[in-house]
Amino acid sequence: MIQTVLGQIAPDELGFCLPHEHIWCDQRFGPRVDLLGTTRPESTYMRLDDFDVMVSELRAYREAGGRAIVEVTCNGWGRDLDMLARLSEASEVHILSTSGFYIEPHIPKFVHEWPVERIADHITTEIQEGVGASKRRCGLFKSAIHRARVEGVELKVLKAVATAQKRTGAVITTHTTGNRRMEVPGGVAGVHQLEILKSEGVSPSRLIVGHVDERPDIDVLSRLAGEGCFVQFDVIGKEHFLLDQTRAELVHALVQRGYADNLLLSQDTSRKRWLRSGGHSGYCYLFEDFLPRLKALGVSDPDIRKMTVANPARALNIQ
Amino acid sequence: MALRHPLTLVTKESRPITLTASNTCLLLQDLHAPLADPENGWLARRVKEKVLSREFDEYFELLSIISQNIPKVLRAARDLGMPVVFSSLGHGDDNVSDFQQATGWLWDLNGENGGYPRAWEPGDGELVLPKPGWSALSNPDFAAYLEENNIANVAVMGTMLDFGVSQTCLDLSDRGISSLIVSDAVAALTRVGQDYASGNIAHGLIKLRTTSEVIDLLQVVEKEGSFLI
Repeated sequence: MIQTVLGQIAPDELGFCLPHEHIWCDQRFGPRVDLLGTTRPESTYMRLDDFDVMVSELRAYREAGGRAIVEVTCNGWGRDLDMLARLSEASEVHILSTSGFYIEPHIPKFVHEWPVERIADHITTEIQEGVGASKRRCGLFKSAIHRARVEGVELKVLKAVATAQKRTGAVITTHTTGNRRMEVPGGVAGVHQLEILKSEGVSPSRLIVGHVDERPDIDVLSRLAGEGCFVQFDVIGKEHFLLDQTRAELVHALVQRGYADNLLLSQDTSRKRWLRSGGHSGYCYLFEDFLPRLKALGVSDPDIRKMTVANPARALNIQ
Repeated sequence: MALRHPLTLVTKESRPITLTASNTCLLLQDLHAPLADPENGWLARRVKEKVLSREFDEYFELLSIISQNIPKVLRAARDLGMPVVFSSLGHGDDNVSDFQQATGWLWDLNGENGGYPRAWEPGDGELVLPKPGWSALSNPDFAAYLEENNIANVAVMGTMLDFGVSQTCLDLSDRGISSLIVSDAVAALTRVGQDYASGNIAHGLIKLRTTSEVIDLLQVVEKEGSFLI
């Protein structure tokens, strides 16, 4: 069963899914945004907060063939399950909301104060009983790192997420590579997270390693896929990290190595300038650019269907 | 403006560094009056004379932001007993370097050009060194100081990120000394220059942390004796 903000659906109802996106967020809400530095202009913060614009973007995604989106904004920077429910109803796109926490600048103060077990109880409730007065349920967990390795409050969150994962069966999606993204190759932090999660008793098949295509190393990604993790190329279209043609060639190479069942594709849309209203492709970039690239390289339609339909359904299925 | 750094795709991880109060010094580079006084400093006066003020707007904006952060880090370092060194482009005697002659930046640090904004004036006993070129290591006295005091890491704040600070960090790497740039306590000449210099220097070599992060980690050093970055 997959848990959307409007209720549960069967895995085969999910359809084409972007597993790592933002629809409603405001990074300025982070309780420790000072950790991000003060030379950064406010306009660079992740922020999506216009209902009509977002409905239009989601409808365009549905018209292109999209059916589901995983909204990975966590408690700490504007997560709003009721708003996501309204957006889902208006656009007819399945939306999943995320429990757990983002990087340290966006972790609520109570997480610093509570012990791991209490945090685990709290996020377990968000999956099993729901959030706030409306009791809408989250469908997965998130854990993230801001530093170059998992430590401090972010380690605390990862351990709490591990406990809650074992209780609920929901998958864990991660933000990797640290805040200084030039310091750690993409996937290396995922290996670190995987080792911690395995030591806590979490199955690798319940881990989505995110942001691997910011600074990718195919050997590290092969190792993660070989362990059974989902390896998520999720900043597709953001060519300041990596050219999309290189991304496509890496995906093709991983498919050739036999890892089509482990791959997920997404865009991590989080700023207005990436939307259709901002002059870009919004949530339609895979349809309009990236999937044609994969096909041109020889990636088959069945493998593309695995990466965009079957794998997300398997990952998000609460077992 | 988004900048891509493809070298990061083939370089290794940046080496972890361990900070303690005694194995790390805080370097304030080119934060003296000629570059850091936004009203009467040499640069401020020069750009006005040349009718170039708009071209330096971003520099002075960045300078204004980092001016809020520099005293915070400096105070935290001093409270911890971390050694502080000032290295400033100019000369302390008549021995003007070829670099200074070539650029025309011939500041005699014994005069008004050797002054500092009040918020980060050198304290008693803190080392103040002239700098004949872009890098702090262009003055051999700084290299000798690092060696004599077993300094393993240098935390850097300053102006001219895209020239002087970058060159200092590269020269430190050559000597096996790690650098930690306080990313919002350094100013490049432009905002794009800030992003470009920060991104380029980060790959496999230099770590960057914000003022808040550095203050947090210095508090950990105070409590626990060291911090692994």
